[in-house]
Amino acid sequence: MNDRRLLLLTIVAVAVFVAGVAVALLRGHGPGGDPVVDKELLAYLSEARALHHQANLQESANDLPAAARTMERLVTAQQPHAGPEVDEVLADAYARLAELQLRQDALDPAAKAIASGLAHAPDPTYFRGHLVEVEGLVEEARATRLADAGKLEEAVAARTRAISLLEEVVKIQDHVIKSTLDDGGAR
Amino acid sequence: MKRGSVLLLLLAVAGCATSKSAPQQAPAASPSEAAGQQAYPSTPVAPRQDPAPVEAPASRATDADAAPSKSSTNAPATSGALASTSGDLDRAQRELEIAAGNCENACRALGSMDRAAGKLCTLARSTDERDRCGDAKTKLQNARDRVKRTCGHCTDVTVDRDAAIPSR
Repeated sequence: MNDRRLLLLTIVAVAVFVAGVAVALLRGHGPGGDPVVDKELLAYLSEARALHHQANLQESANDLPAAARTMERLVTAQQPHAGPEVDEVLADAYARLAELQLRQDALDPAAKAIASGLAHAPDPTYFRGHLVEVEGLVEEARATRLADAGKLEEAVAARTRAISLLEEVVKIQDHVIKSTLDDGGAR
Repeated sequence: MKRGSVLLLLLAVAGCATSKSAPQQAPAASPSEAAGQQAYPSTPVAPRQDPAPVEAPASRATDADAAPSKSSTNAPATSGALASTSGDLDRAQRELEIAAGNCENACRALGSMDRAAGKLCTLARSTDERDRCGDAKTKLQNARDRVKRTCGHCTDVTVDRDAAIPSR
């Protein structure tokens, strides 16, 4: 074997090795097959947990504006990267934010939070169902407000929307239960 | 030069083996599992369910073969049985964890369904709306049965078919 052939063989061997390691890393494993821990995601989930805990304490003290601000901090916190875990955190946080705003009678901000949350829960999951549930409650509150203002026609329209939304919740969560229990964990 | 090339070829093979062996690993724990805590205290999330979280029997056999214990030379049959039992325990534990996660997810969905059906029926006035309330109630009762069959009970919502709607 002459030197040129050996050199070529060496180059090919190095290329194959590098490609193999790269593929392993892309699949989320180190060269030894060990799982690569996503530290940024773990830090984000930990931050979300801490903020929910803080909001729990604020809610316990009946300080709803502070609890809502805490949820706003969570939905605006820097996210590690796109992914299902991050979407679930955001959908959940927006649902809680909307509930807190609804309890303060801030219907339009609540509806806006729900719309933002739904963008992170396009599939029929618990999170989407919960967001639609809160949306139904917002429409119910709107119907009451409109009726109190003498706007009966608009009140009826809001109540009809509320019923449709709540009916949708029943369908979504029914699907979630069936798929979770029958398909061995499908969401 | 020749020795170097042979060494590099071996390394190349090792690199390929690494990339091929990766999918055979048991799925990594979800981030929340790895953190040992739940990510969303307001509505706890079940651990992410991977399609095949239970280690394949073939993989377990390979592991057992690859790392025999000291006693294996003296009592290979006993060692094999122990490894098999240990594998079965791991598998059973994982299955329990998956079932617990599924039930957690099903229970919170049932809670949401319970509240929504209750509110829907409170708002229903016309015949059509009352029919829709009836449908929602039937769906909820069937869901209660389904969750009860699989999970036994839920912490925050009833699985009793005949309980009031909403139950709380």
